[in-house]
Amino acid sequence: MFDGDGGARTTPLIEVRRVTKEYKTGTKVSALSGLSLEFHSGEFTAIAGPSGSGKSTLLNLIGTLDAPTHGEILHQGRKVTGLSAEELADFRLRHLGFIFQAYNLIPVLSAVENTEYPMVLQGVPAPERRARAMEALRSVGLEALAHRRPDALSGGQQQRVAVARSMVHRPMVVLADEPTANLDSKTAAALLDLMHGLNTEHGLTFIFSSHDPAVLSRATRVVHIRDGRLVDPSEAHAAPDGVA
Amino acid sequence: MNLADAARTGLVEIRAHKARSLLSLAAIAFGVAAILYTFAIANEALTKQREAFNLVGPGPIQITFMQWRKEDDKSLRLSRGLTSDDAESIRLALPWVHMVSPVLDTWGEVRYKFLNRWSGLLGVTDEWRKRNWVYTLRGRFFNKSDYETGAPVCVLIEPGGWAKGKSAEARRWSYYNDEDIDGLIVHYNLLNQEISVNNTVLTVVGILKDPPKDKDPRWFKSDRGNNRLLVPLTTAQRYFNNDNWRSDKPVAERVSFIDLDTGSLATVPAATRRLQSLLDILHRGEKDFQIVDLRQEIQKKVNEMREHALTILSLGLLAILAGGVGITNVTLATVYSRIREIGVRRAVGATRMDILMQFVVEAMLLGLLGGIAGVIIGLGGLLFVAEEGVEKLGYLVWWHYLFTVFISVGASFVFALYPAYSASRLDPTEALLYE
Repeated sequence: MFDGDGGARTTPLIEVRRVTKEYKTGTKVSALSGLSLEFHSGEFTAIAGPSGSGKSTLLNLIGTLDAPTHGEILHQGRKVTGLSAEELADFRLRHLGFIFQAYNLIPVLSAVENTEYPMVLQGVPAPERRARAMEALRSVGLEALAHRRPDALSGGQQQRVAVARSMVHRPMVVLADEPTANLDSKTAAALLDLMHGLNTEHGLTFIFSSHDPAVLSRATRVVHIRDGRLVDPSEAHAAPDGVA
Repeated sequence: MNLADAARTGLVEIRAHKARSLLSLAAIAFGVAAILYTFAIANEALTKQREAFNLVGPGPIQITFMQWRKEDDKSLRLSRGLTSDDAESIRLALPWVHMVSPVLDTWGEVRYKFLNRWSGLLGVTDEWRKRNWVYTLRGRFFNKSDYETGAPVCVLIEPGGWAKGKSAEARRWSYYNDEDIDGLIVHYNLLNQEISVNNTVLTVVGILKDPPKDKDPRWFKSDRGNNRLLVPLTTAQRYFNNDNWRSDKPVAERVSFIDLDTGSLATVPAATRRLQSLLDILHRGEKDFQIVDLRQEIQKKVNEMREHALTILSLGLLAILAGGVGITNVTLATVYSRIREIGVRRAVGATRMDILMQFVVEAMLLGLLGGIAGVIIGLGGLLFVAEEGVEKLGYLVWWHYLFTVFISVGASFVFALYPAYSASRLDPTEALLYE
């Protein structure tokens, strides 16, 4: 097993055990092959690899959006593979936050309504969830634009709203799939500053994927994967379309 | 997600997609309007039936004279037809009967000053006042002496106009026709004046005023408004026995029909049987009369109204069905256009039930809005399109509105279930990748 900084610590926050993910599209395609990995609380981890390497698949599996073909995934020592769809939805609602490459805000809701959406699902009373959503927007610097709809916000602003939505319900980990891929370098850097700030100041654990060297350089730990397997960083460097 | 949050999100979605929402709402609304109209008609039928039964009395029967048609005249001329003697015999044979009212129904040419008009004319006895008395009287009605002597007196019936002068029918037709007898009665104060009817001079001793046409409880009578002239039966038989069925040997006591009231519904069948035997004897076996249970006649009219209501109801239900299919279609389209959003919601933690509820509640809100719009359209339609709309509105009660809206919401719920279920079964990863 190759690990970015390889440090074994106490009980892992997330444990990926010999996970394989295969898709059947005419022929059997293996997206992940027997991958094992651990993530710990408070990390700011990047998953690096070229397109098609399995980064998004890994994040989807960790995020319980998809189930592995073989192997198992544990969150805080609890096995999540095998839970029912409803149990998984509840698990995501309570413990996970998501940031997507395409922002994926709900178009008809304003920034603050998008931010409070997880709390709507949790049944948090309206005044409390509004206060917490405004607080989250303040922490990403968008309090003034709280009532704008996504179509009235720039890409960077939309992604900040997505960050606010991902952390507003105090999850144990935020999973971000190529969060800066659609942003220009300046906005991307600002977003990373924001995420890093939340990591250091609030102890929020981030796992994000990217193949942008500038983004990866900000991570405290980088996990390299290629063709569904973990690779040694040196191999990754050597890869023609790999990361620096 | 609780219901209030689902409703709030639903409203946001409806507002965000106005055109789409409006289209599916419209079909539902028209269905609701049609159902509301059905309620108005059905309730009108019931109310009018009740009023009519009260008016015609508890045991109404009518004996009508059935003249043989010329081409199949099989009469041996053994019967004198229906006469006031028959009425007398009935009175003697069935003394417990509440009313026996022989009527001679004919016509006459009325002349007053330089005007002449045609009118239906009824020769009546005092018993006539026991049925369908809906009038207000100026002057007097006939007295005993008038009946006994066949006095040359008459009572006119003045048209009652319309309670709500602006109804569509009243606008289209003047409420009376100036060119016929109505105009003469309305424009000239004929009380205590002399008029000539078929060259017989009669004194107008009283004027009865009809109730307003739109409030007339005699809606089931097709001949109302035709007869504007009343004279004592004896007078009619003496002066206006002009349409006699036996021109070779006129029957002086001829009447056109005899109205009876047995006094209770329970006695109608027995009375009908006894009348049948009695008249068979009096008419010497000739089948020249018919005994009609007037309640059945009213019932027949009510049934016609109900059939009309059922037709409209089926149209309304069809419109709701079309609206429902529209809702299915619109909800399916909404689901397909929001697949990615559904993926996001599922990823963030929405359960399948949350997604199902969201789309169902959204459709039900559309149904609710469509229902309310339908009630408004229905009321508007009744007021401005239907002829008798103003009158029909009065037959709607609060629960009719509530029930139609409930039907609309219920239909929306049923028709949104399938698309909402499809949405709830979407795989979050695939939904997130959907372009």
